[in-house]
Amino acid sequence: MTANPPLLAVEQLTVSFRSGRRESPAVEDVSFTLDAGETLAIVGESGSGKSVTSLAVMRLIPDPPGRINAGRILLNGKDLLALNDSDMQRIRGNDIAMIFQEPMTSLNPVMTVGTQIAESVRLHQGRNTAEARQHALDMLRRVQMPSPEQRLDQYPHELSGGMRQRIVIAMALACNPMLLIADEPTTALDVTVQAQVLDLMRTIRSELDAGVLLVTHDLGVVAEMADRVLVFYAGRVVESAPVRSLMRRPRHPYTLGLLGAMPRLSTRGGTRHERLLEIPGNVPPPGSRGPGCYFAPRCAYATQECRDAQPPLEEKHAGHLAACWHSDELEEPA
Amino acid sequence: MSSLLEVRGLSRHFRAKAGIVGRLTGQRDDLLRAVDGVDLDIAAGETLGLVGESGCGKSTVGRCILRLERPDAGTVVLDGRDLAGLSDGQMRSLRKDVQIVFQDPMASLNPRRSVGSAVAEPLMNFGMTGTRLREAVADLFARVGLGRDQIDRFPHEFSGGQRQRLGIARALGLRPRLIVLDEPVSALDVSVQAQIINLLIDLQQEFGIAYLFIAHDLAVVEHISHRVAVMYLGKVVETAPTATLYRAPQHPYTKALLAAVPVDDPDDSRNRVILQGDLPSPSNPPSGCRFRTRCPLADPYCAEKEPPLVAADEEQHAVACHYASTGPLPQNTSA
Repeated sequence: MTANPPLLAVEQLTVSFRSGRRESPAVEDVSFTLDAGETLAIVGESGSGKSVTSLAVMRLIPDPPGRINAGRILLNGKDLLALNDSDMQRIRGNDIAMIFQEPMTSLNPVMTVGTQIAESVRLHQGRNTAEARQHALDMLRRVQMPSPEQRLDQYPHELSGGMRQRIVIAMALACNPMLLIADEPTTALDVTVQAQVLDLMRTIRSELDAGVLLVTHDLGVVAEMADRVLVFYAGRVVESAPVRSLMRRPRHPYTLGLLGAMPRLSTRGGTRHERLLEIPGNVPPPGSRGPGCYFAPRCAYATQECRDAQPPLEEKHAGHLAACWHSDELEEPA
Repeated sequence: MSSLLEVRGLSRHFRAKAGIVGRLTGQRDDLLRAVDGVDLDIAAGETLGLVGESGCGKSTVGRCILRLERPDAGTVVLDGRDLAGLSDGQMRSLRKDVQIVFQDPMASLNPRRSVGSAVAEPLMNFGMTGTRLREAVADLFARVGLGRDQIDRFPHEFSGGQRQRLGIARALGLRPRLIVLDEPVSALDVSVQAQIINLLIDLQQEFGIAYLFIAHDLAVVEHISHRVAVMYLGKVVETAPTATLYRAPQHPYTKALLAAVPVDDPDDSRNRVILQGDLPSPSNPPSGCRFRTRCPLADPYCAEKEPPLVAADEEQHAVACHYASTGPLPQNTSA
């Protein structure tokens, strides 16, 4: 490690949501770092806290009902949680940009595509209208939009899902952000269009040298895009490792279970018409979690120790962390 | 092979109305050919996977088989009877042979009624009452892995995976010969998805039900299907036994689709063929072969003549492409 701070450092972040009189944690004690030029994937199932974590970095947690209870979020060493709203507004869009799953939710249906892309450079970089429009056109070319001149004056509903996601990416990149947060960027897309968008994201990542925080549930997308991976379960990080190390030799039973539950193409080692490995049961809702490991009720390796005490996230192997008392007993995935 | 279900020449067209501005400027309504001449066969106890991207017409095929849509042309023959020609009343009695499970089970459950009554409803429609009905519902709950104590609960008390179990219990009640499964696991998390896929495989083995499994996830479809049909813009472009389709696909679209699936191996070094462009609009499909606008093999002949679905070398394998071959697909040069 060098003396320079990492691009992004999240330290002991805890976020909770209030419903009625009860406050339940959505994210508990999450820490990680991300360097420039690196892609860190956050994987987990619904309710694991992966999206809440990415929204917290943007300070977009709706408050109320949400609240960041503890922790620090450092961008180049500067604590974002200590900023006032207008300073944070300057960082959003300028230094940090975000891409969501459903492009239509981040596009204004009554504004042309060109105006929307130009808006961010006008606001953040103070360019005039003509310059901004030219910049918007350049951005459309950069995201390999077919017939870009014509697209500038079209409305979002006139475009396909894949093209809309390109527009959102163009908007995100308009101010050359140093951190790009992509929350399920290809989940709503068809597989052939997903391949195009992933390809585009790879190209852009190498051009920008930005850090990418990729939130996804798809381990295939993780393997294609990520350098390192955080596995979330019930609001906590249960495993953190370089992507190869994680896929080859997961050290947490939940990660092992996810890999086993995923159907694979037979040309890629899958088996046809056999039972998939199941993880029995469901993710425990916040509030019904015991003092021990949250995964224990669904875990084949669980012992009394697991039910009594939360295992710490510890290094099990160079750069490979897991929160499990039984990491050494896990078998390698089939 | 004798078929339980035989679909021939199935077509379903929708009229996409021109808006008020369109009509004032003399624009005509568009005819959207969602399904355009589809043939399918499913044997008793068999799973046919139907794959394709959004808008290819795969769900409409399923809905036409159940007569939730009335087909514009073609026949749907179940066990020798043509469903397409039946009146609604006649169709009702046949519904016990064909059932459907949707992607979002919440949309098919009444939030104000207990889940037990939702599962009981089809049984009551066919005259079951009293203790027999209660026993049958309890059996169904047990069979899909739900507890007897959950019968009187309401839909919002169930997780996504449990709701899908309810959807399956409800479809299973009348002991149908065929269940149309329309994206049954695509809204579920991967650990729960595995539970539902396993349940479907178990139920098929126990009851010998045939499935039409409609999905966009190629790995899931391969896992569960005996045979697979690939659709593109309202037409079947390739159909084959699962092992053949995935090991030796012949249609360029099938090859591209398989190449686009992300694989959980960071060292995977496939020569990825990335298809250019998006699916064209089904209201204005390209002339000739509908895939030609995105196909790396297309030439002027493909624009002229539509390739028919013809038998390939192997048994039960059919492809609709003038240049079908088992070789790898060349990378698209235009970008």
